[in-house]
Amino acid sequence: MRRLSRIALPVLGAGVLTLGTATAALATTIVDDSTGLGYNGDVAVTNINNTVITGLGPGIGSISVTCTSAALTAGVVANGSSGSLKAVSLTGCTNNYGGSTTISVSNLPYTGGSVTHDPVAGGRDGYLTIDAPNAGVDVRAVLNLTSIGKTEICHYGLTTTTDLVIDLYNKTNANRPVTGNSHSQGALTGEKLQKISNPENTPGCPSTVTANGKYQVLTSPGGNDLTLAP
Amino acid sequence: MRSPFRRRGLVAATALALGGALFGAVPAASAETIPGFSFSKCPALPAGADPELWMCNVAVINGGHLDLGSMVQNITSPITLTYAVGFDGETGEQTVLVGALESEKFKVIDGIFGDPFFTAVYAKPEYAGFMDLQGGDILINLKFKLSNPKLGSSCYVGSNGDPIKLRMIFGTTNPPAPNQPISGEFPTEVSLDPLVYKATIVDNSFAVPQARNCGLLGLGSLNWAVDLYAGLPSRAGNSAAVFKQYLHSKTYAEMGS
Repeated sequence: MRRLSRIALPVLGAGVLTLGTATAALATTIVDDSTGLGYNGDVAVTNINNTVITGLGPGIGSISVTCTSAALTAGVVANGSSGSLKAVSLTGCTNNYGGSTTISVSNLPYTGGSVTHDPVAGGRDGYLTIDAPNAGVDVRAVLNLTSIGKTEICHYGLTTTTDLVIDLYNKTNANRPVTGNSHSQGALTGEKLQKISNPENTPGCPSTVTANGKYQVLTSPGGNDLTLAP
Repeated sequence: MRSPFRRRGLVAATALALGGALFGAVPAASAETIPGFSFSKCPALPAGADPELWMCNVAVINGGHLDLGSMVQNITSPITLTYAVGFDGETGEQTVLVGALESEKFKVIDGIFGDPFFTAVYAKPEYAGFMDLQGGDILINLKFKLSNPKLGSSCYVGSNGDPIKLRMIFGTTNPPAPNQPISGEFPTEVSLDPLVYKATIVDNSFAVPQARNCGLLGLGSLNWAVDLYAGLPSRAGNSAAVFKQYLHSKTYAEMGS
């Protein structure tokens, strides 16, 4: 079960990155570094390292899905409002039970969320949230658990009141997650997805999965860096 | 070479304990006779643990056999293993905690010295301090307490420091000779509400250490007798564990932790 959950979280993480809306508490501006102006358009979010989704299977322990490639496309506006997640792709996914995993995302585009400029000393420059609960989110994972002879099909979404959060880092932030990567970045750290009702679900699906990954964020087209500013 | 004296009770007890760790089951509407499950022995969660990311598992091993060296024991009464598994949501690090390994003692032999009345030997499996779950494999260390008036109260095969290390799998083993490959059975759902799995896990690649502390005052004066009878120590490839088990699991969030 955990396996499915793990997969779902990476997908959600990507979705969070793509969604952007203005926050009421702090002024937020998404700036295109190539022009110095506010950016309205699509952004491409791609993984820097592996995306890992983890959940618990009954009796067998943690199911960990590792995806070598993650890409998503999101639409943002300069003030962070009206963001949407348009496309999500997680590929090259394997699990720790010797099998492959496929992940797909339904009901795109996802809307609803916010980007907040909220710098933390020694840490992020801001964060992106996807509002929860969110009835539209549906991440489907098919886990081939070879060593135990099982295939689990699981659907995950955001059913609690805890938003999905991705920390955002400007490219100039010395504390960005992957300093060897010179671009603006996002980090998904232990964010949760919950199993949602679906007739496809098999009994062994993890009830909750967590997602972890680090990503770069660039304009699309253009490939320019973005800066999160007041 | 196996000893001509075969003891099924000891082996069975160990096997049951291991099997229980893997699966849990709950009564269902099927024709299958499913054992009952109690979560009263679930270990307490570590400080700061997220109940949504921790699960307690109750495995009941009620069939199979365990062969330790020359001792062979059919599992005829349940062995119950209660254990928790959880992971850190940020690091993914898994932790396994054993709450209890419960078993009756098994008669290993009617009389280890040939006397069925005064020298019958019983063995009871005990947890030996380590358990892990790795990609479908169940790793658990066991020791067996042997009881008999002449063996004293501290006679063991295996210890926490020198345990019987089992790595149980659902698939087919690849043991050293003279053992041949044996196969388990993948888990299947025998009840959906509550969710209960049935499976068989196997290992015939483990070694068995020699007896210790057997005899008057636990001084080991009869270690030789147990070793001679059981063919201990036994190198890998001469022993086997086959555990038929049921498993039932709940997250700690479901249990209200």
